[in-house]
Amino acid sequence: MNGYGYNAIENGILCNILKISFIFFSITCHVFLISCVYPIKQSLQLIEKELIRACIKGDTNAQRMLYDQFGPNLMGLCMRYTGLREDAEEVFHDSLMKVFHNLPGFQGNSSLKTWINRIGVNTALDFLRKQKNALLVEHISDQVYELKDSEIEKEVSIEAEVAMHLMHKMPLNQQIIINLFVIDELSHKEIATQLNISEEASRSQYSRAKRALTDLLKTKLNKNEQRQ
Amino acid sequence: MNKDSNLRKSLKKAFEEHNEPLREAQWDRLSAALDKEKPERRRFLPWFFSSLGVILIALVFGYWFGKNNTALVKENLGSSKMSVNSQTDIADTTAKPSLNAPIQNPVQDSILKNTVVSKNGNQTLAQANKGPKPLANKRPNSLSNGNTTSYELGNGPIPIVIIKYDVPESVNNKNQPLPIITFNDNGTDNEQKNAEHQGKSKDTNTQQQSEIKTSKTASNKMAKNSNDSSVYIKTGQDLSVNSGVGNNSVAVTNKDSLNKNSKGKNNDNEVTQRKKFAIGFSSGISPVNVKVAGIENSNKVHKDARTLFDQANSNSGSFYANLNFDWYLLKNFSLSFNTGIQFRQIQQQVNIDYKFNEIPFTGVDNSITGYLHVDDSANPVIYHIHGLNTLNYVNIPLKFGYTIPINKKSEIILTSGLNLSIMTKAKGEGFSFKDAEFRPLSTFYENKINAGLIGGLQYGRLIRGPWWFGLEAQWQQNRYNYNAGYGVIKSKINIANYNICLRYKF
Repeated sequence: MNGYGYNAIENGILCNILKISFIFFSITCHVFLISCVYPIKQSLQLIEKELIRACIKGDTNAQRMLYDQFGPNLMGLCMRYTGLREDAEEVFHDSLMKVFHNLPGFQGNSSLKTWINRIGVNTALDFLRKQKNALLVEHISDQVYELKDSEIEKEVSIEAEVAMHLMHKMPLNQQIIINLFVIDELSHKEIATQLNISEEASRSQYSRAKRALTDLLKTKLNKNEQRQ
Repeated sequence: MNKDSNLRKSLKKAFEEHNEPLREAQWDRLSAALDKEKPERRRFLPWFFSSLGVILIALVFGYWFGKNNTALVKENLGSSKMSVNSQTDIADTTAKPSLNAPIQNPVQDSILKNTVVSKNGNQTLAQANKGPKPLANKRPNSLSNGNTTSYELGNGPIPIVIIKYDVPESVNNKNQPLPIITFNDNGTDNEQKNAEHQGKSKDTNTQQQSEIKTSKTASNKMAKNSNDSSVYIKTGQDLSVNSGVGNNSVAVTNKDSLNKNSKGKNNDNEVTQRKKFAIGFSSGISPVNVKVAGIENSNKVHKDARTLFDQANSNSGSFYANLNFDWYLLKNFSLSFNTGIQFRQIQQQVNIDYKFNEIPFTGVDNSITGYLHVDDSANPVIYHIHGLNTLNYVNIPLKFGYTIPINKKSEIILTSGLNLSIMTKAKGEGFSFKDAEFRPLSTFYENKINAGLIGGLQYGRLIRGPWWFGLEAQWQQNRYNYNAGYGVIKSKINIANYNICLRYKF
């Protein structure tokens, strides 16, 4: 056994010690994190539950807290769907009224934020149906468009206002599909149910919307490059 | 897919924490809307509890009334020391050997159902009916359960308590000898006398100056008590009483039994059985009062809309027809559940010439920010709103009723509960401020089921057999929403029904 061999063995033991130490350390970290994060999460849930309970009782302060906590995000959602501040405020108001009415029925299967946003989506769709008096999505269930795949080279960083501006240049039905599928993460099945169309139609609409948005985005990026 | 993901990722990232600032005015509006709803939610509670209170009071009063009636009878009898000297047996000349035991044994007592009781053992129903009218009882044909009366016999008045009792059909034969009340003067025990009495009613009839030995009642049992100088006769329905057939006779006849026997019918069991169900029909006319309870999004509703709504509803009348079903829930406590189906037609004669001289300015959210007043000199538009509006409703009442019997032929029924209502038809035209034109009335009303309150008082009178006639005063309230542009007028309809009713109990 020469020095190399000893070193090799020594190195092997060292490696194992390091491995074990790492595993032990990571377990400790996990335990620590779980023990710290879990109670925080629990306490947050408790706070949320208390907030809901107080809102149901009609406590104005609790209602204001809920408004402050979830309102701005909901207002952003309303803006995405309607495009106009006035319309967005109308949808926002109706959504929050529905939220406060239906809070006793909230079972906590999802987070409160997700639940509120889902109410916002439904209200916005109702609003668009009534106010815009528009056929939201063309019925093309039997006709599926085979489109050339849209192109975007890499993930780009764009501001919400810019993205919204681009989206509102698209037809209303395409805006809605992008909102529902991309941002609010509804499946094509759910979209089909919401808009009373077939899943195929939803997919097809999405392809067209994606292509339109990609084109708009590319144009916008090219313009930016030219300016620079 | 990757490119697709890039687009999705980019958009998701852009909107991940996308918030929009809120204006304070938004909170003010929301807060005001939430505050408006609070009193409406609470408004139901006082109504609910006051209805519940009325029902409870009625139940307690009815129970107390029923209980005290019997107690008072006993008390009165206890205090009135009668000086009639005789001893009473109750028997039936048609009877089998066990007939004289009825006072202690309710099963054996059943022989005296719907009974005619006679002191003269050989007296028949026809004979007893010919006797003179009772002296003390002013309404000879209206005795009912628990009532007391007294009859002047040769020896003085005998108080009689009528108690419900079942009798076999055989006794109702007009020509059959009657059960008898006998008077003995030797003070021997009733049971002994009864035993001796079988088949010897004529002999006992001759005895004089006897002391009445009778019984005290405990529900449908009789226990003997020599200190109580009353004759207790267990019987069925209303009785007519005849006394004074000879000096020493008393006859208590059942009026129903007499009527039925005289017509050769025999359905006494139907009469004596407590009814479990009733079906009925009622109809009437009703004054209608329509009021505006509130306006939703009042800042979006033209200020004249409320006035127009009030004027259009100011001259309303209603026709009402109701098919109902009663289920008597408790045997000894006259609580019943009532449901059915109601049809109501409200007609409104509208004669309005509306001068449109307040032109609204609307903001971006359709809220009205101000009005431009147009003088009459500037020839404002005049809308002529004339015609007959017809609104049809179908209601389903869900009520509880409490029956307070006055006597066997009359009763008062208190009812209270919920009334589910839906508008089925709206014929006519309404003026739309939103479109400044006339539209069919059906487009204004929300076609939703709503729950209102209903309550009433009914006087019922037995006409014949299971048929009852009734007069009813009933109040009901329902709420309907009337869409007025971007807002909603919440209307409250109060209706007073005056009905005649016909009910069949079975």
